[in-house]
Amino acid sequence: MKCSANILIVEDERLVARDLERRLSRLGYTVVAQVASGSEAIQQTLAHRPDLVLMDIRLKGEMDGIEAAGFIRTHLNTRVIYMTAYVDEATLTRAQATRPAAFLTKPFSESSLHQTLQRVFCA
Amino acid sequence: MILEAIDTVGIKEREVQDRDGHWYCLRIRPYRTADNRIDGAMLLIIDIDSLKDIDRLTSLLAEVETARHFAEGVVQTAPWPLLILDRQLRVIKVNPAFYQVFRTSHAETDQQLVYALGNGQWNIPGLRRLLEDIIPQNSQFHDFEVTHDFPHIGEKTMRLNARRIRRGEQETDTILLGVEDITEHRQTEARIVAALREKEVLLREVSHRVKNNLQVISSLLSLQADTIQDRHVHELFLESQRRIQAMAVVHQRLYGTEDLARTDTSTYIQDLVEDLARMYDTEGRIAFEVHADGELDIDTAVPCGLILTELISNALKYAFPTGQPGNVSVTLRPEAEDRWILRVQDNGIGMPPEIDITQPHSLGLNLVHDLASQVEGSIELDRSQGTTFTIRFMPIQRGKG
Repeated sequence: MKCSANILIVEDERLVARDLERRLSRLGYTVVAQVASGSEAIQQTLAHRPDLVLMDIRLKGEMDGIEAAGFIRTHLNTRVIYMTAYVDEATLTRAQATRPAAFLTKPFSESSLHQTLQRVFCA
Repeated sequence: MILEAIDTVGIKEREVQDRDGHWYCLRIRPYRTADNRIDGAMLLIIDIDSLKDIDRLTSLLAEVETARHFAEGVVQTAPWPLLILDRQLRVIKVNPAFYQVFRTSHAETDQQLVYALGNGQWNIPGLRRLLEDIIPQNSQFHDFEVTHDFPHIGEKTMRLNARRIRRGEQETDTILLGVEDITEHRQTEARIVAALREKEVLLREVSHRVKNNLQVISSLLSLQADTIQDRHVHELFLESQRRIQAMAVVHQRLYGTEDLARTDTSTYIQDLVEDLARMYDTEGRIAFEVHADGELDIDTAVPCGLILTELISNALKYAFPTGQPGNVSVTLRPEAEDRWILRVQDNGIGMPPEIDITQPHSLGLNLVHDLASQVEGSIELDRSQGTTFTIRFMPIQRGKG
């Protein structure tokens, strides 16, 4: 089953972001923008009002993904899925406090991306 | 003795004890008659028991003196400060190490209350209570730590030990207080802890970068695959991605563990199998059984993960060609002392007899062959029921540190 939704990608590795955008469009989703920092993530969420933000935890700039996601979740009421290679206890606890829709551990396969998005949008 | 006294016409004397242990002096002298004839002996018994007591006391005193000298010697030569306090906690005496460590003098110390020493540096409520309890409650204390900015010597951490020294009467009892400067010891400890933490942070950082780079490699392959029309070539790129995924799973498991060099095979293999099942979309069709336990060093865990990825992928691609249901059993565990077993068993159609595993043509089996030799393992193939690959190997032993 294909589900459609508008997604914002927040990822500072441009190659990974580009690959992710292709995979998402193949799965039938629309990527509204790709950004590399927390502040851009907030701006673009305001501008595009996506259904979901795919958020890397480690980002360029002052703000990390968890801080940006906290703001987006509370003030813009937009769902967030974390993508990260970085999952120690402390980070996980901080991330969980922002009530994300899901976690994707890097590197992830297309099928786990697909399944995670399906669970979030089609459940 | 009597005869001897008579014969020699001399006085014999000896100290003797009766049955009850009472001491007498026995003196024998020849008995001389009025006409100057030796006509026997006279025995004189003098009670000397009380004199014996004095002897004993004298030797006891000597012993006490020796003990006192010994104790004094210990106190004087001890390299850490020692104080002897009276019941009122007044300093009776301190040893040279005390003067040296606290850079103080006889005049500043003797007969002072311990709390008054060095501008009241020992006036600490907890310590005061402990010291005051020692004599009345016959208590002692161990390893009481005080960190304080001491006059002349700066901030130091001292470890205190104290006990009562009995002198018969409580009034004359004293307290022996030992002080040990453990500042450097504590600083070294703190440095070691900090260094260890730094090392862990660094390892986690490296581990994070490894995983991030694996994601970049995976993305590169995926981007390249998208430009390829040929389905077969496209599939080859996807296989490479699966191999990278298998390596990433090991790093994922290591990252979450306390020991950053070893991984717990049970969760590792479970994750690996779940990932592969998802990639090949086997849901409901293939039942997996995982038998994995024990810990492996990362140098062995990565090749084992890659071997399992190849063998499980092969089973999923070729063993059940008509989409029939089947079982795949995966084993990775110690088998005997030092020896491990890795096994992938399926109940599918079996590997065609023309495939020779000693000279394989596919990259997958070539990789299995190379990785098995990397862990110094032997490969066995059983095609009697489905396909069973068994590899026995010795895990790499790496010294810690």
